[in-house]
Amino acid sequence: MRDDKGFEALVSGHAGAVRAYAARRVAAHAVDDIVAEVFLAAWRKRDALPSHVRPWLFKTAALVIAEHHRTAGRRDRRERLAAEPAGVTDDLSGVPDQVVIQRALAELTDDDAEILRLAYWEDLPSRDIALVLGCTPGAVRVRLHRARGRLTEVLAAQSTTPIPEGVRR
Amino acid sequence: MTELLHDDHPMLDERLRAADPARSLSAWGADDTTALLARLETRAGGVRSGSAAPVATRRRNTWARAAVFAAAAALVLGLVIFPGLGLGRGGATAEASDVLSRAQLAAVDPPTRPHQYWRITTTSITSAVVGEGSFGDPATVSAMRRVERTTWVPVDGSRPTWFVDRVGPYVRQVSGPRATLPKLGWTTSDVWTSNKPARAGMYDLTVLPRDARALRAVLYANAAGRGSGLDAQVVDDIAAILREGYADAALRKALFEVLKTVPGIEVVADDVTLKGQHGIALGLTEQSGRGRQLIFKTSDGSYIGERFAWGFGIDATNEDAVTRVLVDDVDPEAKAQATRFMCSTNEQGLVMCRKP
Repeated sequence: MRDDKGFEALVSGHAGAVRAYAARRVAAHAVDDIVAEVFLAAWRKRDALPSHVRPWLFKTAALVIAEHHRTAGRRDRRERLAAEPAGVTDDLSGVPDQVVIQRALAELTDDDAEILRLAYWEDLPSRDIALVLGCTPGAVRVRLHRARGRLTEVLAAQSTTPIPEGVRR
Repeated sequence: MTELLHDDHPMLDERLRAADPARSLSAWGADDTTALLARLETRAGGVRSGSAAPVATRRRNTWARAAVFAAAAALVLGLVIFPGLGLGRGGATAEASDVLSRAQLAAVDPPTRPHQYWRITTTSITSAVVGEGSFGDPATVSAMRRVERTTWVPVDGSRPTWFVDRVGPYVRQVSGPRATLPKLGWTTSDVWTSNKPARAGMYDLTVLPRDARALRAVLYANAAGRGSGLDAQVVDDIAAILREGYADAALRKALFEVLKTVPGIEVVADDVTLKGQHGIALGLTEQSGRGRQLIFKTSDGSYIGERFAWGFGIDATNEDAVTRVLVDDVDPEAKAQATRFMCSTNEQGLVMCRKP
């Protein structure tokens, strides 16, 4: 494998992005395994990879992660607290905004959360998101607009303070 | 990404970007590429450029032959004592090596018949994260919760494996904002099978070498570039294989022999209790206090499970107790309730399982 300069260049050029993709979606201990599975699949298909390969790698990573979530573990489990008047979700005043946003994403549908991740964290243009999700770029723009709207509603519902004008619909 | 920015959500856009959980990841470097390629070479079985498809398995065939010879020798002798690997880098302490030698003596499987199954039960206290966030993060409610997996694995590997997963009550909160954990009982969360036998995690155990030296080479090659250190990652990977309960006696003996060669393996505690059994804990303890412990029954030396300390308090410790029993058939209730997945290899070369 080290003799294949083309494949080595593929790894050098894209493994960091795949690792970040995985790190945003699975527990830390599973990230390296996910990355290895993705590039093992890429190796097996190296003679038939598309020239614009990153969306293919992300789409493959999505499949690997879906399988991981289905068969793994207990250590990746996410639990939802039953509603408690004094529960931690009622008071966000001391919680870092990063956590506030991530909790809000967890309230969205998987499709809404995923398109937001691809747009804002993977920083993909609409045509690449379309390749990853298997839809048209036009559909991506519509779905992204709706997902942002739903996220705004969730944040408004969770927040104990008025949302600044900049994000009010 | 400028095409997707809209003026009516500038602050939301900024907040989303700032919330990226991967913002602090270090940049991918040449060493990372080298380590990943080395790991892929091991998995892909020595592929060379120019071939249109992976060249299968010359290395795997060698391992398979070694596995056959090792298993045959074990059957003839009834007991295999592995000579020390003498790798010259130091290894486990003498006390820990003694524990591992007892474990090798205790690693014996009864004779099986082709239609039978190993019923493996892993009873755990595991980490549970509430909502988003990382376990142990000060802003995240982190707790320990009971879970259990029962697996029926065909002894000859020719039939599907069956799984029953159950989730149980919270045991304790270990960090994060104070929260009232709900009082829960045991519920069955998942019952399933597929049309193929299962693998134990990342490894196909049928082709892992039973020769300890060759096995050590595989484990260390696959540990490169992962985790917080080569030795700690090897211990984690060995623990993962043992935890699933699939490893046969020959493989368990070989894994214990590899553990004897890992520098720093020591007796961490000589009187622990795991699911009511008294045991001795071996492990590596990192400077942070984080570490994996393998537990061996005090009375007969057999492996009974593991603990994993997260390093931020004695309460933040995962536990897994593993039992492995030979049975004639899968539980009828599991067969009746199981979701049956159909597995196939997709265009990316991945084995994917879906409900039919």
